[in-house]
Amino acid sequence: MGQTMAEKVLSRQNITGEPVHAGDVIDAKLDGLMVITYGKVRALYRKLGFPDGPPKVFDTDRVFLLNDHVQPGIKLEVAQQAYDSKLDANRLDITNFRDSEMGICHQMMLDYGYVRPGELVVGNDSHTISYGAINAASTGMGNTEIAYALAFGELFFSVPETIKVVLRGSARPYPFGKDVILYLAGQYGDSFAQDKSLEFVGSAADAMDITSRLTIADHAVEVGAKFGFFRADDKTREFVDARGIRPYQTVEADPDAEYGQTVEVDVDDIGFQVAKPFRFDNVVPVGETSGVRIDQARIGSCANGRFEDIEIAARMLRGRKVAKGVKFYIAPASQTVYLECVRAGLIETLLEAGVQVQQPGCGICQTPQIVLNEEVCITATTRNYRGRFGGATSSEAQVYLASPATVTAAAIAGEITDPSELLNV
Amino acid sequence: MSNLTTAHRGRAWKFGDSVDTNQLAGGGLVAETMNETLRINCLRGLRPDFTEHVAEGDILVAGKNFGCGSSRQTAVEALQLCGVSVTLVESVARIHRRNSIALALPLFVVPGITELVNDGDEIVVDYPNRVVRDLTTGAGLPLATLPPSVEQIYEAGGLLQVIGARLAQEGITPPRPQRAG
Repeated sequence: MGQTMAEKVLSRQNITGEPVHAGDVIDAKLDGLMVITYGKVRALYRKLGFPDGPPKVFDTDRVFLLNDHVQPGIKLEVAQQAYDSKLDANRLDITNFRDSEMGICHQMMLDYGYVRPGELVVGNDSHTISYGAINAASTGMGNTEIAYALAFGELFFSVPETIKVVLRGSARPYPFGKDVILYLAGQYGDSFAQDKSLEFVGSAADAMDITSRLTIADHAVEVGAKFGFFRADDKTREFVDARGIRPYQTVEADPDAEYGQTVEVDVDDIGFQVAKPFRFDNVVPVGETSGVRIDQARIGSCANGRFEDIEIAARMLRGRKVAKGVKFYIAPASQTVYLECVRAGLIETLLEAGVQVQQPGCGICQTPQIVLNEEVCITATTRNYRGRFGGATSSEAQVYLASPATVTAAAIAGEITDPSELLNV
Repeated sequence: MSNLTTAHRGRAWKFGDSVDTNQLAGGGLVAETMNETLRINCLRGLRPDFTEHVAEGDILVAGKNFGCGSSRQTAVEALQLCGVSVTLVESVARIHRRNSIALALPLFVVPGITELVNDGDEIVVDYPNRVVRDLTTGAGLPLATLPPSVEQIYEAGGLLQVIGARLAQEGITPPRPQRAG
């Protein structure tokens, strides 16, 4: 019987060496482990009686310790966490440690070539799943499991069933990756891939750039998935080779692999999509939200903070201004992305238009500013749950999710609107 | 706490589908300690009176896709700080399921549970006899058996204890004796 991508990677990593199929429960060896919010992981070891934190790591080269979620450390606990991580990285001889730059862990994993196609990688953030865009089996876990993996380099997995998602059409130049995944969530629901692996294939998947693939793979968790794979092709190879990634073994499904379900979408038919409050699957075509006045707009995060995302905003804003009364925040995903944007002149355009350019990092999904119960925000970030931008005290704040193009059009108009005209479609 | 070996009885608090981890552990009000901040904000956005009235041993009942969203383990910790003894759901998001196991908060996927139970009902979750019973209505549903590897983590009191035990097997023990309790 043929194997899916998930079955292949998990067979390769299975501790017993046995080939696996959907439904098996196995212990698998990890190729890489991404650790953030280290203070919480360290605290677990202190609870076990190790005052200095973890006594060991499974592989000094394959643990990626990144201080990303909260920078700069203006709170005592955050500053302490950063300091402790530096001490521990040194003590444990962790070679891939970064605390002196701001950025989103997932983007740094890509920028620095820490994750390779075909690998099994976990991290303590749900959007670790995004590396599926470059053909990796990656997924998020909680802190205690990460603490376990840190010492032993393995975790239990149930081998997932796979849904094949066939994206037909050209996907050029629009809609964007965001529109595609929002559409899928709207059609099939926010748990249609619960515990499953997704394989995105078809002509539109092939035609997409890595940025669009990253948006889709990142959001695979928003439909419940364990993994969200794209095939490795020339674009993947170009991307990883440019980052000097060491030898890697891509993974491809067998022609006779068994799928639990196949879903087909012609992306050329779907247009721009918006998720209304408060769920990722509360999706309508942009036209149904036209005229909704906004107070804030945002572009950034592991879903939409890359050069291509920001370039769209800059292109649409050139010679235009952000509407009066709208705060438009844009944050590049990493310092590497920021530098690319600076070199291409995008930041100047954004500043001239009245955008508040934020430091790279996860902050765009939490801060820069609470969205109040009275306010409306449209955002090309990860989630629109109740209180996402302010917690339980702002649970009525209205947050809409859309692509960077739709967000930028709304920021210029002061209300949600179809971006086609500004994009010169 | 080994919490699969006894029956749990408590008031049911019922929630809908896709209760995300921002609702469980999303901040908002600020208290003096991190744990108290977690506790007072738990589910507040959906039900402002929850943390005020939930009692030790109460049981959370929810619909599909419970615990979706961020990987935050604090989502489970918040429920534990509120005194919730068991979570019963139609379906669960995978990271939240794993976090519940890791922190030894019993979580059972029970298809039909939101039909069976009304908010405020007195219910018993009896894993040893593989049944959940609504004492208010007398109706019941079966509980599926958890995989042995998962039961073992619950029996150990959580994954942290498993880490300690495995390190000890490798001869790695804390540098100074731990005080009991």
